[in-house]
Amino acid sequence: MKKRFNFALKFSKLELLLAGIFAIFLAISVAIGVKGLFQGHEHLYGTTREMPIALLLGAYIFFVVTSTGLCIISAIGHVFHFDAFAPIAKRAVFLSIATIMGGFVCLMFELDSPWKMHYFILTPNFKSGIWWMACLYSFYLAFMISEFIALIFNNHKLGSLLGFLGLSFGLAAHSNMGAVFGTLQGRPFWTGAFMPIYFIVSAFFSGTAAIIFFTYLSKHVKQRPFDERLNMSFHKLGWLFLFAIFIMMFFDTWSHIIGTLAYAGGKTLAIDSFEGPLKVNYWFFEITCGLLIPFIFILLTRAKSQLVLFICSAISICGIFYMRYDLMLAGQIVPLWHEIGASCAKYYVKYAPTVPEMLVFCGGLAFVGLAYIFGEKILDLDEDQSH
Amino acid sequence: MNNDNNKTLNRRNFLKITAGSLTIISSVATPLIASIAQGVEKKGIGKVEGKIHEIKEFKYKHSYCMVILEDRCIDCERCMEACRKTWNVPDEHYRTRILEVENHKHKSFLPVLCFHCDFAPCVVACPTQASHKRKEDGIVLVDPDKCIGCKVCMLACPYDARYYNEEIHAIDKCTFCQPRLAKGLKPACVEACPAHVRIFGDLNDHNSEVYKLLHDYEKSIRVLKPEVHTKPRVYYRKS
Repeated sequence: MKKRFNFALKFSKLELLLAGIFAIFLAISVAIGVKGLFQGHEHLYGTTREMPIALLLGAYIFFVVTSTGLCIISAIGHVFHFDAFAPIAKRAVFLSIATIMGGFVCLMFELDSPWKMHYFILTPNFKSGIWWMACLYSFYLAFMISEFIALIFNNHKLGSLLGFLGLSFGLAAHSNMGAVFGTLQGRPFWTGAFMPIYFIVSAFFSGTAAIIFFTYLSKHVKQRPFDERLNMSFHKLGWLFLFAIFIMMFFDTWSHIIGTLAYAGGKTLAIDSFEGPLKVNYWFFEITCGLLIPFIFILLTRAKSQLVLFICSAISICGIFYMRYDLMLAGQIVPLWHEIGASCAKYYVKYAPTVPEMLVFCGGLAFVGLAYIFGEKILDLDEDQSH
Repeated sequence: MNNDNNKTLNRRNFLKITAGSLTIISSVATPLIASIAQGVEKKGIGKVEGKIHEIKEFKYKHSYCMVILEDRCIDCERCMEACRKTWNVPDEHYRTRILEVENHKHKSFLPVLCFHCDFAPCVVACPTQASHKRKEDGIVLVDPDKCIGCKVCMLACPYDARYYNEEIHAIDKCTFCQPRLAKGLKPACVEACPAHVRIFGDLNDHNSEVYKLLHDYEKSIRVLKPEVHTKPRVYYRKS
């Protein structure tokens, strides 16, 4: 029987250094967030009346999309009992909790007046997508934490049930978040039924990339090679990742064709990816890094090289971040009065993230990094063979 | 033995997947119930009988609205000034503004403000009911005590009518000068306009200027961005 906790920590110098850097970034992030609460965000962040949400909400979405994806991946092995994916299930559950918490770091400091949050309960608006998102994500987080505790105590039956509930609420919350954007009638780039589906599909993609990335890292953190089951699982994850990239490419292709050929309000302008201000982000980061490079290299190596899979997942995660960031900007980049020909709305809305904004985002990343290092060291995130 | 196990597993998996799918579908459906309810409410639009504001769902005690005689505006910005002064709007922000619009080399000025829409997307989007529509007169207000600053209402509003006011730690917007209306005064921008561009009144009062302007069928009336179906209460027409 394995030990549930390992408090006899032995950190390598590199791990200690990384943990220290992450802790500093997290502290800076909290300091900026608290400063923002007192002084306001106007002079701290680059957001404006025309672009009220930007990097930090993009970062929040980046984290929660990854969290939902990790939850889906964990459920494949742990809830639906596809044995090939069982060895990575516990790690995926832990990371899904860590990533959503990282998202909350960004969200908390993105809200202008978070101290009034109790009105979510006192005067709820059941018609509001944001209200449902908060409600469903709360249940999701509660179930994921409970599932992880059940897994630590080797109660796999209860863990499966809780995992199933976590998955249900995760999918509901995440598609609901897509609907929050999809129902914004005044923003043609986001409006439509495509968004909830896109959010779920891209969660699957993000989750696969994230689990490959962190599982490979665990080999080095633990300083022991993968066992046979984990080797097989990792190889299958590679194929799953390739499949996820293919689905994303399919979605992206049609979204691009429809956006370009059919003039739908500001949609065409917003994704004017050949001329618009997001062209580098779109073609280089989203398409080349996020999709093409990983797709080609995984296909060429037939998902056999673990190092290639790791590098591809890392590059893809960068691309995925830009997908979320660009999604935020593209929805707001065409000024609201553009279509009536107002002279103030002739040009794209400008936005550049400020250093404090970037540091808060780094704080979210640092939280995930810190949680991962301690999680991997203290809690055994590998599959318990005893069940 | 193995076969039996496989069968059991298959049956178990099948049941789990089926139960899972059902739960997922029902979980997804839950937040949509509200939207469906809203959709049913919206079907009431079908009851419009020819004339503007005979929508039975919107029977306000006072049905305040504004008519903007768009060819009269000279962009003097006195309305903006009066609004800023009356409501302490920070210098870099505005509750109302004047858009300069160029169509076929013809330049015109278009005053815009919060349109106090009957289907206000900001009210639907607000998670804490900070943004709400008054039942007595249809005015859309923000309760600063409840506003958490998520800014989703700013995204939901198709008319750029909102901004975050750091001084009050809440979203701020035009209120049709509701506190002034309570004292029997007109909105500050209406009083300040030298060209009589902004006409404000109660549609329930058949002798009001707004009622007459909106029921003068010789002139066409328009609303901005009709495609978003928000039923704005600010109308535009030529004088």
